[in-house]
Amino acid sequence: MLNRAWPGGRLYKIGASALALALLATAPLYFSRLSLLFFILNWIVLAESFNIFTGLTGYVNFGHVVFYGMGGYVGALLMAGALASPYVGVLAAGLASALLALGLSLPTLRLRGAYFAIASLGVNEATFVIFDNWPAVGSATGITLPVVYYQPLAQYYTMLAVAAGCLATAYVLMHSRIGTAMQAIRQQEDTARSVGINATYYKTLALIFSGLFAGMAGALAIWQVSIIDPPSAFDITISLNAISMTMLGGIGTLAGPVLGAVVLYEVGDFLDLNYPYAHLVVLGVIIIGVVLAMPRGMMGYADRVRLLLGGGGRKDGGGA
Amino acid sequence: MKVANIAHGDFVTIGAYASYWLFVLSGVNPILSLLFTIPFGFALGAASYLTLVRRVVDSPELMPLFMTFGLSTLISSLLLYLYSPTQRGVPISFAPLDGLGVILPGGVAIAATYAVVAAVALRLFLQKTFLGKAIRAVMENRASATLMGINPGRVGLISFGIGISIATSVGSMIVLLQSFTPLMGGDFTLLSFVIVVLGGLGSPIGALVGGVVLGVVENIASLWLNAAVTPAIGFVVLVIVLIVRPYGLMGSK
Amino acid sequence: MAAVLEVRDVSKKFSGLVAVDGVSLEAYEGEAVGLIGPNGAGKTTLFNMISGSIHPTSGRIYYNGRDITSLSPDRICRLGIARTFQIPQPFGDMTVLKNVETALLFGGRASKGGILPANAADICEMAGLADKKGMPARTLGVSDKKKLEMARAIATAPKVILLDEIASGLPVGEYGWATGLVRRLVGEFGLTVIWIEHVMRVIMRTVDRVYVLDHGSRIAHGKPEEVVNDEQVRQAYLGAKVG
Repeated sequence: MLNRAWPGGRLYKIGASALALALLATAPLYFSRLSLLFFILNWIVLAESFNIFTGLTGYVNFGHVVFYGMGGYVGALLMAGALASPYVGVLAAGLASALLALGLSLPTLRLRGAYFAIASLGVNEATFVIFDNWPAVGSATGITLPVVYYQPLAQYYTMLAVAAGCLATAYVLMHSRIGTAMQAIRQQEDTARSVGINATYYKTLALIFSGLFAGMAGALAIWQVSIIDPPSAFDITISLNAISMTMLGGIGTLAGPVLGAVVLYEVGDFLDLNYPYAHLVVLGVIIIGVVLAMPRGMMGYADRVRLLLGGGGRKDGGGA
Repeated sequence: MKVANIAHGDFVTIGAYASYWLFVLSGVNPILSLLFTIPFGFALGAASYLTLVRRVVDSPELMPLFMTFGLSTLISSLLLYLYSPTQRGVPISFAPLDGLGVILPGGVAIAATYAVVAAVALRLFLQKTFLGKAIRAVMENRASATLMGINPGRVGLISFGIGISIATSVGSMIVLLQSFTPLMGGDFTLLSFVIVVLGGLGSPIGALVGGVVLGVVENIASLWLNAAVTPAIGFVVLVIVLIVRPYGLMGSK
Repeated sequence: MAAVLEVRDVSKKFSGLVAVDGVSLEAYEGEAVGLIGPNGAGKTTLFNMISGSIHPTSGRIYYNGRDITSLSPDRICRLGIARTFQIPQPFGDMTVLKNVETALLFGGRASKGGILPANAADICEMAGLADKKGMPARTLGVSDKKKLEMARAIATAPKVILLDEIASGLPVGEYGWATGLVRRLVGEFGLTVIWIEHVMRVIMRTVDRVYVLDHGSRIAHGKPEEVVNDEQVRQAYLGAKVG
């Protein structure tokens, strides 16, 4: 998108992204809490992959964690059985979740609006029950990785690569023909179809990319924490966190989920340590507050600041 | 009004806690506590409508979904905060009902009776009263109902209030049947959507039939399947019905 | 000459209710056809079936001899049938220009060819939206939203265009815009127009032939002046506005 009022806008963005990437890539040299960065990146991927589907198409997927859990299990099975290196495991987990997304899209993406959202809640419930009762994946006990998989540096760099890939994919989706189609579907699906947009195809595509990155994030998480069981893998509060982060940062924008993840991960960490149940209360309040008062999230304010600095905010796209 | 209330089941939980505390603190029978949970639910529903739902009625569909999801989180986490995740139950039992060769536990008989009474009353209300007809008109076509002098805002307020008062009163009945936790709401939300989809949107008798059908399907399925799997059956039924009849088994577009 | 669009004995039932009952119609290249009838006659339902947003209970629909009955709306659009919506439904957050660009991008213009303008700004101008290009679509008034419906349909480079009450709701002074544009689409660009309209004096002066629907059935068909004098049509419209 052209930013006439701020001619250096694009250059500035590229520069900022390169700087961030450089800082993160060299972080192990001067920052000791790598696991903190790892989990922030993990949440960024979860939130951005949620945004890739829900933010772009307007269909609410309350069951986003299903892709994360599925990826976690595939990664855990491959690593615990020493069937593949962790890198292959992460990739395979992403592909498995993408495949799951494709499979789920066939029945559920025929549903419109709220019906889809409710079906997604049901998918979450059903997947949990299946994994909880499936001996091959350890049923309720889950899977524990052997200690050889403690590889903090490799974990961190793989996480960084996946996060960069996820953001790059989201950027391409938003700024291409595909992004225009998704924007049209989000704003008025019947009209989108009537001008030749194959809505089912684009929605499926979005869900597949959403599943791909959430699946990789899931496998990365299990590589790091070494244990997975159904309640942690398919915990709806993971979806809840991804939703809150995306909403707070600004749904439908590229940087929104990143901002939201950085802020909320810190807040959540603090609350979990000090006031256990308050964390969920805060997330509930954030979602309601964002819907009522700032539907475009923090990015909405960023735009307003930019307008004050000299016009030229984003004209379309953005919030729902 | 087209708001799918993700927090619906959490109002059931609120009703259950209200009846529980009424029983524990002042010995009020859960059946009698209906006299409190029904108006209390209406007030809660009306308040939620005025402060929250009203503001997103005209927003893109994902906003009310997020809003009620946030509300659901808020209610269940506040209940967790206040009352801990401990399972609770009301220690009260009723004489079983013996007739026609079947023995029904007393609590089940009372809850079933309440379900039938509530469904019939709601249907009569929707069919016979002016307000009920106004609600149906707004459901059918909001714009033309407005042209006919119906205030869709007031209709929204009242129908949301009624919906929530039914949810909280169901909570009073739930305590007769099972123990409960602050987190049970999600299951009830999902169940209520399955039942509405089975029975058709906007049809109280359809919902009654949908509920019975789902109950029967779950019980028959549990003869073959592991009991732990039954929660997923409702979802399978939901997906099948949505694909075969997107507007419900008994509903029409 | 073979019909560009042929609707053969099409019916649609909604849970027992017959909305369209065995309707047939044809439209030929370069003609404007009117579709009239009282409210609830099934006109929009028929459009929804032709454009693929719902599928008929029975009967077939052919486009250039090809059976399109069960195709999806986007396929039908890319084949060459465009539509407008009775209640305008633009992409609200996009500008007028972006609305038209989106239709240009996905309507399959490249494969269809034709001599309709290929530039979004030209199409806006053609539809009378030249000075509204930069406005977000949701801020438009009713007349301009109707014009945008038209512009978006034109941008998909159609051979057949289905207009659903494009003049209703316009101020009387703007009726000329609708008739002028329809005549241009047919005369200058050789399109086939099928036009549902309640404003009789607008449509009857513009179309070559008229089909009349009532209670889901076709009750009359012919040149506008014949149809106006038809006894059954007068019956159907008794009390409604004619002429």
